[in-house]
Amino acid sequence: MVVTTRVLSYRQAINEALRLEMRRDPTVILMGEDVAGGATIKHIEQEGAWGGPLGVTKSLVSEFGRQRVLDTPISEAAFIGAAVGAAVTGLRPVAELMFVDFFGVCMDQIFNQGAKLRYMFGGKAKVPMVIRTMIGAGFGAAGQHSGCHYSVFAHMPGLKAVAPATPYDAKGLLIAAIRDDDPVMFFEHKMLYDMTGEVPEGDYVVPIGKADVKREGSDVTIVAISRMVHIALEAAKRLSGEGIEAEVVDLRSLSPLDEDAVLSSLAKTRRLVVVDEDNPRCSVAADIAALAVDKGFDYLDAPVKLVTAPHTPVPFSPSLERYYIPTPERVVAAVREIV
Amino acid sequence: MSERQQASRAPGTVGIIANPAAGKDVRRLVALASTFDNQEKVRIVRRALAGLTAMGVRRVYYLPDSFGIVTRAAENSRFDLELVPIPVACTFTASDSEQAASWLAAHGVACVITLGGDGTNRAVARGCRELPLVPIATGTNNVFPYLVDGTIAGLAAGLLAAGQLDETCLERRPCLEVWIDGTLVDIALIDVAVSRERFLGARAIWDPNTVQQVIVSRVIPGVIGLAAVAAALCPIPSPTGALVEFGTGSVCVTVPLAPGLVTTVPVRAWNMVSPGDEIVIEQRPCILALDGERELRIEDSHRVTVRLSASGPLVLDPRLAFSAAAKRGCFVMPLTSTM
Amino acid sequence: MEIPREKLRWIYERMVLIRAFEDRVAQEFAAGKLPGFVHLYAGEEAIAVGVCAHLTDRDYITSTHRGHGHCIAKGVDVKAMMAELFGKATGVCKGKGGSMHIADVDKGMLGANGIVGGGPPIACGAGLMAKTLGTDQVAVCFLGDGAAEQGTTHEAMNLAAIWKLPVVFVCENNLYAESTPWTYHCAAPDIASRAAAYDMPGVLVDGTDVFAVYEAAGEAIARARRGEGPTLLECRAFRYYGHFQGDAVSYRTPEEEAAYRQRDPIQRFRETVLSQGLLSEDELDAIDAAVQHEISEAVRFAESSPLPPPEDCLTDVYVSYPVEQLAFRH
Repeated sequence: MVVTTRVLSYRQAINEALRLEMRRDPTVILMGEDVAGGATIKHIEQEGAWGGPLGVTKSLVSEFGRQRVLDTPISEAAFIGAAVGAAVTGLRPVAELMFVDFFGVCMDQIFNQGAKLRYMFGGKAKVPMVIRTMIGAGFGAAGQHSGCHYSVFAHMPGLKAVAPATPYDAKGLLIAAIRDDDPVMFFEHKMLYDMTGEVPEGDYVVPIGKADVKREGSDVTIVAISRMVHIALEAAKRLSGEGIEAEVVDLRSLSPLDEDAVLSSLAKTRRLVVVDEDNPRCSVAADIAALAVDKGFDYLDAPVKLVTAPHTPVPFSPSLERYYIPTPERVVAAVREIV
Repeated sequence: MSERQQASRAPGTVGIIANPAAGKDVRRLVALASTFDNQEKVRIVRRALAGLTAMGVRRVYYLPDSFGIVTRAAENSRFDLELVPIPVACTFTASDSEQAASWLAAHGVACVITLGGDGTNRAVARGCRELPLVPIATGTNNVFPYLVDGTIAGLAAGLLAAGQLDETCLERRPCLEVWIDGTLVDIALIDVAVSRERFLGARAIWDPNTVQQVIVSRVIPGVIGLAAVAAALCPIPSPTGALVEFGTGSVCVTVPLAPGLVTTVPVRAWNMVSPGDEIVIEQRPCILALDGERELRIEDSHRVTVRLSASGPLVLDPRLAFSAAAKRGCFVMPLTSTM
Repeated sequence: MEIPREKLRWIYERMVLIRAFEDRVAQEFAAGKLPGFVHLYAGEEAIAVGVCAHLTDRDYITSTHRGHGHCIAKGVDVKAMMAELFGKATGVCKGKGGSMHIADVDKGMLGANGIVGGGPPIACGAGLMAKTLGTDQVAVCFLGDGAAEQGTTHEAMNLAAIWKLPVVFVCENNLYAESTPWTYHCAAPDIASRAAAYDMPGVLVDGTDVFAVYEAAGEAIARARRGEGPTLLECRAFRYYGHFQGDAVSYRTPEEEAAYRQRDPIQRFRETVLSQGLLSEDELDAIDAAVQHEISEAVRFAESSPLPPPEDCLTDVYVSYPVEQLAFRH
């Protein structure tokens, strides 16, 4: 079979994943604030509707109608909880939590209800829901619209968590998340929406729990998440000029974690740097470091280095925000310390 | 000690009985009745207190409903009033209203302001003897009470308490007495329906097919409920009551049986009923609905009669009260007195 | 309103079964045989039973801390429930949920809930499923008077109203949220009238009278099935036990307790059906005896069942997940 690929943006890739799954499975519905947009306003009822504040779900309402693309009131606890209830009773809802920073108003429904129901019910229930949510600094959106916070969710049993870095992975992971029978947190980095890349037509799955080696190298392993994959690749390019070949492992899934991918790369390079835009305390980066010293201690020829955001909220001013986000320079510096 | 002597010891006092349960029965579901918001009852009482204090009333006895309608109304207010709870053991049933009315009647207050519909006023009327009622409509069916603002009701009650009104402002309403085996067991203010329902259930009555006959205390045009059937057939305001037999055989009438529920009722026969007339209830077992609520279950062995009495409760008519007070110049004072 | 004879028998049997279950659980708890907390439903039987009498296994309910009554009214197996409270492998949740999370999705029972106000959004989801797939299923959300003050409850009532979801909110006002009287915690002098804010019917029902609950709930559920949207029923009742077992119930007076016990839902049902000759005394007594037997059997089953093997801790977290990542590292 010939698979045609073409260049799509990360935003278009997500939109296409939703469209294909909604065509394939009538139980898939979308819900969230403005995911269609302009409900009941006649002149934008179809094509003119927002499709989310950044247009990620644009025009899905014109194909699937408002019965399946549901604008919600600004009541995250109610609609995220409704997604849990709908999932337990037979739908495959994809709920959008506009910015991950909003988890504070609906966390009970995510972690006490959605994540724990199956376990508390002795395995009798399944909760096949996806929560799509936007992460990341770089937009000047300040303290309550810029965090990553995926560590919080990766910490919670019952949830899966994925964070794609490329259009290809975004489409394949979202299709996998929708078909998964467990609740999946799907983290979209807002600075990646306009990034383009080759994306095959038709449906395909990027399996949850599998990391991807985005660049092969022999001297150091750089494990990165989401947008940080591109920072790591840029750093690797610069290091290559100095004769250091870095292997860049895109984690893609935060829970479950592809321990084998991390450990086998480490076995090859014997050095590890983790690049993570999330805050450093009790983070995925710290977890990877713990994995390395626990199961990969014999491979290590140097200390594990973490390149992360500082332990602060995301600041507003451009100079402060630039300081906050890990840069290729910081990654290069970290690598130099251990190679 | 006679009641008159007691009255002389408590001049210028008024009672308030506000039923927190009024306006919330199943007719919200089976018809289009509004849910009567209890906060609105608080505001009505607050306005009534303003009217009372303006007329010089300094002490108000109230039914402590524990939902606190009257005490909430007086909170943070500048009313110069002593609020005294009526000493009844609250059971949170209609008997609380009856006991409170009975206590007020025995303790010589000038009148009692009621908040409720026909059902609430029926409970008060069971206990109030010659104590005049100032009924404010907050029920589902409001044939008995006035649709009047709390301020007006408070002012009218205050005028009566201040001795500014004579008995020409009071209207003597009829009532229907229910006698079982020679004992007076209950009264109705508006109507008694003989129902084939088996259970008291949710109490309200809305299905004409379950009704065999209705006796009304007076024929009043423009009312809602079973009394509307009599009003449709005998449209002249009349001091007499009526007996309507439901069932096919004579005519069909279109009537509002509950708020928003306009329906056609087949009628077999109807007759006028005069004060003193007794109607023997032939259907047994049956349920008697008093003022639209299923109240009494009648067994085969009972002998039941309904008697129309001309001497029901006394009601203060706010319009007559204001007219009489204006004639006496109660609201007018010389210009100098305001300086 | 007509209630078929078989339904009357079912109503009585379920109410008595709930009472007997809870009384027995109180005993077993006092004897130290049950781990954790239990919150008992005795006194409120008329609500769960009067409501669930209109539901099938395909309809859904969400529940509260006080969920045993809802389970029994929804038809969850009593043996498996008792075993769950004992923490046994044969429990309806394999010993992983316990009293506060007792559930049986196969019976449409979406779980007791340890979080006050946790259920209302989930009930909306079940209603959304029915509406999306065009079925006639309904979701009933049981909540307490304490949950009436949770934001989730208000958000969910609004969501159900704007989407016209087939959801019935049944607020069981048992007068106290733990030890706090509802007259303190509720700014409105009743809960039913809050429905007015969401343009849905708000009906106040005597929650100790199963006939009143049955009739009002029947109308609300029928309305939901017709696609006319949600309803809020406030059912006032009284819990005979404390908030949880071990609560000394110092906040209630003996007079208050006595007044409510005079309105016992089971006793009232008996009087009504006996005085009308709908069911006979012998028939009711036979149900009582069968229920006592069923409860004894349930306890025997629970006691003789094994505890779950410790490594079962690791199962049922996910449908699929690498098991080595669920286990301890060492």
